[in-house]
Amino acid sequence: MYQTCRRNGRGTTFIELLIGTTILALILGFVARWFFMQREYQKRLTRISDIQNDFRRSSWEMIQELQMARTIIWPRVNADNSLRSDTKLVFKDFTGRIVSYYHVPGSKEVRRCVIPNGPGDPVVNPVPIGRGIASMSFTATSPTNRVISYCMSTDGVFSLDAVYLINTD
Amino acid sequence: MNRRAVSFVEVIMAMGILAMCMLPVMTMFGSSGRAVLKSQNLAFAIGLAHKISQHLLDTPYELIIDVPLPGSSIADGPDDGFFNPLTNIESTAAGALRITQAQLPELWNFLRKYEFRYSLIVNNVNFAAGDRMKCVGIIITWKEGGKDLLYKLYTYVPDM
Repeated sequence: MYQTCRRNGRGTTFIELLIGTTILALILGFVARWFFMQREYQKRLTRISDIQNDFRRSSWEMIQELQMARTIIWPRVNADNSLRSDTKLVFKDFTGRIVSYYHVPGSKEVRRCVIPNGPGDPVVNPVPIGRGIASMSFTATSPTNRVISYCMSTDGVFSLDAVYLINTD
Repeated sequence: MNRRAVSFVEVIMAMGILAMCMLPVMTMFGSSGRAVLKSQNLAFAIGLAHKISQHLLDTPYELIIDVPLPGSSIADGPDDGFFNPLTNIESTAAGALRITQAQLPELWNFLRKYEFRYSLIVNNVNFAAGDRMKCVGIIITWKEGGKDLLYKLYTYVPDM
């Protein structure tokens, strides 16, 4: 006779079985909860990493062109020399073309377009310069209008930066 | 056959061993999370330092002065031209928003959570021909998991 089932001449009682099942359920509950929490946490971390990457990429693209720009057309500081912000930026680039960066909240993109210096429609770049950006603002901060500060944010991740225009018009 | 049932003590011991095996796995998850957060804060600090360096290039030469350690807080900070005020969608100064709990709560929470601060160390450099420049060390500090972290960037501002 196997004593695993029958010890001291009796089998496992219902109460013992119930206690065993409860302990097992508790352990499984804790493990499952921890596992799902970790899964959510890892998803959040991956998301943060992706957002950072999006910020870096769009910052790089904007800084490269902006620092060589000649002049900022919009936004410019207010008449009382206070700063002025907008979700779009218009500037004259190094070659004299009028270029605009603008944020599209619906698709969480920052797009670039070239505005013709005369009749015609703006030519929008087929590929956005920034993706996954929930909110963005460009701010003219100094009376010289040679510094453009910008702020990007998505899901509680932020990026604050600025660009000084090396060239003048 | 001398076989007996598994006792409660044995079950507890087995669970303990299992928990000890799980511990490194749990630690691994935690450390990867800390690495991502560290990377996030470092990337943010690099942006802050770059922002200050760009503003310094447009700041009147004589107004570039030391901000000694422990530095100036970015959240609830003074009107320094670097971070406060931060935005303004209105056409007058009355609409300017500062990094305060009331005006920009999300950004304020993030900055306060990690206690981001900045310091400036300014060194004057004079050349024989009368030219001069300032070598500015920009130091961004923040706290993370009880540790003080720091990012330093040097920029040079000529007197033009």
